[in-house]
Amino acid sequence: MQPCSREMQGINSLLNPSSQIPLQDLQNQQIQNSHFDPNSSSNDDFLEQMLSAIPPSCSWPDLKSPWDLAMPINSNGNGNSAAKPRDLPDETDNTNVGFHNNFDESVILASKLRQHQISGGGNGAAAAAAKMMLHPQFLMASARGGLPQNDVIDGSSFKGGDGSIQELFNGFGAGSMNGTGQASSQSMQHFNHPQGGAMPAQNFGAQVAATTAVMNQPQPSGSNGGAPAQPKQRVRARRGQATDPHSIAERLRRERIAERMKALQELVPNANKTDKASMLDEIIDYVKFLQLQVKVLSMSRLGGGAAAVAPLVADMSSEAGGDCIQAGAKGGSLARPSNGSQTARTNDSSLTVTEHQVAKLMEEDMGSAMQYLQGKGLCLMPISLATAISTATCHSRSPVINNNHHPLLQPNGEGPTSPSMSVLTVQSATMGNVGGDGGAAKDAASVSKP
Amino acid sequence: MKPLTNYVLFVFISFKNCIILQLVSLTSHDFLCSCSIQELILSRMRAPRSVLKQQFLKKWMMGLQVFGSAKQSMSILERKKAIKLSADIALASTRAGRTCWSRTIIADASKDDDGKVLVQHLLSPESERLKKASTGLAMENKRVRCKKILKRSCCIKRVRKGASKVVLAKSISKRIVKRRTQVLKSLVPGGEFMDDISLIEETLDYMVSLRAQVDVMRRSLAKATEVVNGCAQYANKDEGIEEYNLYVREHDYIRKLMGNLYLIHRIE
Repeated sequence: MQPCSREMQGINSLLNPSSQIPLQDLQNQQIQNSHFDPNSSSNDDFLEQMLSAIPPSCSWPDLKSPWDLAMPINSNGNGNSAAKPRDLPDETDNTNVGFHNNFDESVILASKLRQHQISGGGNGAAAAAAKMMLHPQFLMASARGGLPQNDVIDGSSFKGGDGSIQELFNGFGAGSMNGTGQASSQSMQHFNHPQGGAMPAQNFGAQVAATTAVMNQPQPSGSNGGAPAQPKQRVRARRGQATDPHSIAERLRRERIAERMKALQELVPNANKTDKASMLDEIIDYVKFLQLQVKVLSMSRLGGGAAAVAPLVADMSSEAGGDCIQAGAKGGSLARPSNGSQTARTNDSSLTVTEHQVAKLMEEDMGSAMQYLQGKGLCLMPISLATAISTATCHSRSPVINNNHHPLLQPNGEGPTSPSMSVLTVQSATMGNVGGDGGAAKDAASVSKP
Repeated sequence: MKPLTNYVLFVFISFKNCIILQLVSLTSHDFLCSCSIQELILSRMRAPRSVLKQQFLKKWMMGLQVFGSAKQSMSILERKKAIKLSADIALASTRAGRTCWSRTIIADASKDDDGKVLVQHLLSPESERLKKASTGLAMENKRVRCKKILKRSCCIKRVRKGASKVVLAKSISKRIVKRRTQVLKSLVPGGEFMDDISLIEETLDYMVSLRAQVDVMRRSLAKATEVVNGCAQYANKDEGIEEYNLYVREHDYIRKLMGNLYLIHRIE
């Protein structure tokens, strides 16, 4: 991963004993920035001050810090959130000035990631948002020349922020606040104002790399008992001093992982967990789900009816592996929706007959078994799927599907006649139809609509 | 020859106030249709599409055309594999080798004949660099694996002093996290050879692309069904009705399966 390695190079250089220099720069810039506050109110003055503040031969991580530190000052100078749109060109200029060549790759990658995240959100404004995201790349490209950027483009591109972008950024901003950098946390807070969503998204892209550097810098400052040190930090520093590079590297690594987890959290639905383990769990489930969807979608347009479905699904479930339990199929209730509340089962005897019949058919030919079931309005599915759906419809959807609640309870109530069999009535919530019932058979699973 | 198979139809499509006359040759298996289906689908899509999705759709259709002549003779399984394969390769090609998972997919696909043809077809403009990347991938992975083995053998395990509850909980959670990371590595293509940080980045990118892929495939499925249903009106209804019913049924089946999948995901 080239961008990552470049980041690592930058940070490694920072970790070297030459870390004194960036620290001093940081302090210098802090002092300088404190002067900025009363003086700068107009955009141009600020820009000039920023330009003068940055030593010309500064390395990449250092350039981030003045930019980050300048952010709160910028926002403070302009006060209320109503002035935010005016801020944006400022910040863009600083962005341009602050960026260095090495930085481009990682930021472009990050911003492209954001762009695709946004587009993956499938919003109506997604295309426009994607274009907005593309602009930072142009900005950065021209920043190599060191020219202050065309405010025109920025002004136009940062209108109409997308809600998802804001959330994306807010989530990420909140995540980055875990870092020890006070400056970065301040800037994040200001960015959390829901204004011009694309702009924060752009800075976010920058800050992906920036915060790593910024967060890194206060650590050497902490370990050296630098300016922002508080008693707690000093204690931590002493312990850290013993194994300095390792602890710093580890802390850095942990923070980077936390950042990215935050980004993932935005993507994965149902992700309100902050714990790493549970987040990983969610992520895994979601990826599995998406892959399964692709598989299902690719087996469309099956000619020849149910008989053709069987080998297809057999293939699918054999890939799925351990999920499907071998079981005989058991007939379920026919449960047409029009029956309303009357979803009581037909007598058990007929069910067992059906079940035996299906088992017999399955031994000889999957296709005929499927057709038989189809004729009865039943279907087969893997047990895991079936149980999952039943629990879902039982717990979460029961207010919606009142009339069909009954048959769901029944299979759970009566229990499997043998450990390997299970019965389920599957309902498609969207359709309100009852799709069929469940049972897994010899690692073949398919669903057909009656 | 069944009427619904080997259909030749004139389909009138209106797209942005222009009327496009298209000659569409439809089989009962829409995804392996002729090239004009692509314009058909694209033109019917009113919803704004991201760049990624449009790229993917285009490449996917290109890939499907590769199978063009063989589509009649393929069995169901083969057809499904063809669709999936071309979709995967198209997806990977949208990333054009910048991400590890896409390189892995392409490298794996190039190993057998079908994949090789597809890869060459889909990636011909950028193929040189990508081919090098995918061949280099194997070497890179070996190198990474060796390094990891070395690291593990050299690392000194810290002695666990009298386990306080906190420490115990931490070690348990670490183990859980490690196990789950392993699972994730097995899910994401090419994930076994990456460290944690890049794994998460890859997952991010992979998830976005997968989502786009699912979205495109689902929409094109819907549109294709629409088209076929529309075409079926022109069909000779007497003969074609059985197949048509089955056809609709299958589409509904897939739709329901998708809906149920969604339900499951909501639970978990």
